[in-house]
Amino acid sequence: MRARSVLAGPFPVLLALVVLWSGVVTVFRLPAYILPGPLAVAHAAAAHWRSLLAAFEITGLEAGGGFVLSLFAGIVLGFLFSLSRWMRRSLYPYSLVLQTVPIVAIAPLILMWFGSGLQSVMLVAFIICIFPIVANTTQGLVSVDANHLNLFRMADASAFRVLVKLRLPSALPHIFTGLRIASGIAVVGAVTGELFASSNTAGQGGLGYSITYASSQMQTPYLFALVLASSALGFLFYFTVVGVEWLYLHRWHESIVTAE
Amino acid sequence: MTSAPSELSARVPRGGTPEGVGIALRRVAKAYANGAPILDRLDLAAAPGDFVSLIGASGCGKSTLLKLIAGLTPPSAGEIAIGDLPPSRARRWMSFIFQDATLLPWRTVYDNVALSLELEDCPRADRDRRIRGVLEKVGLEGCRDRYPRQLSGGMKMRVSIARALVTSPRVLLMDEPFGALDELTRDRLHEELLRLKALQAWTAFFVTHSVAEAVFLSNRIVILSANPGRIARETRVPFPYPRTPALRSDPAFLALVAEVSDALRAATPPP
Repeated sequence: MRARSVLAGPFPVLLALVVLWSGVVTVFRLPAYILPGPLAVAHAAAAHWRSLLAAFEITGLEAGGGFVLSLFAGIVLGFLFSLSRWMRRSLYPYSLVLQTVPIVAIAPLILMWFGSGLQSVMLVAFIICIFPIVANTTQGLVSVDANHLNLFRMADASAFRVLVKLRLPSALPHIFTGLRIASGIAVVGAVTGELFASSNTAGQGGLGYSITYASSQMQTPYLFALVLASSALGFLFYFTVVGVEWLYLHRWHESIVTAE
Repeated sequence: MTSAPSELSARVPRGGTPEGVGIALRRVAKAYANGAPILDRLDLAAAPGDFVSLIGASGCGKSTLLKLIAGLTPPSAGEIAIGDLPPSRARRWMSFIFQDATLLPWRTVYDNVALSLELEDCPRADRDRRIRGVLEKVGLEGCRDRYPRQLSGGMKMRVSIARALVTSPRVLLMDEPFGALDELTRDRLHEELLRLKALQAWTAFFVTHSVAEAVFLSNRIVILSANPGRIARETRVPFPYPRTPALRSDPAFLALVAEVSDALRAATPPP
């Protein structure tokens, strides 16, 4: 049992991938500007660690800002949608537009309208995050058990009490599903936004900005380090949400219980 | 929405047991939105403290009848009186026990029972004493901090009963509450329900598919025919309370079960 639990899981796979990567680079004698080995990437990361960390922080701030904004706006919108079928039918298709329009296509527009900088990048992250939160919150709030509602009606409970004591708690697993999806793509949104929005600001940009810079300078090992940092940031977001979800749900919710 | 203070105070004499209340249905009908009748010209009266079982084929409107009495849905025609109030104003006298336990999964046993009291704004100081009291009565004082997922079906139903009784209702409406339980658990809960009934004198309406269950629990059985639902027959159950498990093997009990089963069959068209 113990040996199996050590061998299973993502870490052995990671190790195998790094070994394979390293092997490919050595065997085919690939130059670092085409495909740098793991060591070259580590060296580049160490050499640029200050700017790497700064870029990580900036992108983290932008993605985090966009995510938190979409969290509040998404839950409020989801609540409004849950209030009436009319509202859902007339407005839901338009919220879907946010999800279906390619973000790379509207990022330049946002830059033009809101200027290059933090606020525009946050807005791009916000746009990409909000739909899964709205959709899942709405779904959670409307799919309340009919007899639970009857129970509250028997006590003549006010709409506010039904919301606070019934709809919100029973929607919580759905809301967290939306937040988990959004957390993963928040960083994608921020990096995409930076490719456009921060490219003409002087000095240090976020990860997206640094990626375009490293790419134009043919600093492929550093480019790799930046890409890995972006996905590490995405992981950080995702697992933060998963952790908060666990805190809220693990005592009672079946999905968490069976996952343990 | 809100009841006048006088009605509320009439509800439960402080510290004492609440009285059951009479229920009267006069020419009550209910139809679907498309006009198809579910229940047709139903007359039914229950005296305070009666335990009335409603049996009939699936789709005869038993559950609808219960919802009408609860005021959860309005009748298409006719009148319903709970005591001398219409159902929508008497809701706070009534507790409803649903087919599944309908516990809130994010609340512990204790907090699930507390919900009823929270919703009727029972003062905090009073709550704890009442919740403890009712949990003790249903034998759940040891599991107050467990979540519903940690309970068996029978225990969940006990919590549901406790939640219904903690407000000291004058009317208890039950929609096949024991349908999903195994026979032994069922029998035990029957005995417990009757014990609780002896402590609190509520009037009960009980929907079931099981004739034996109806005969064991109730003093009156109403058999409904289907399409549209009408009262096919009413039977009085003569066995005095308190009833013991031994009653289940009594020849008179078995004879009545057979008689009611026949009447039910006669009222139900073949499939």
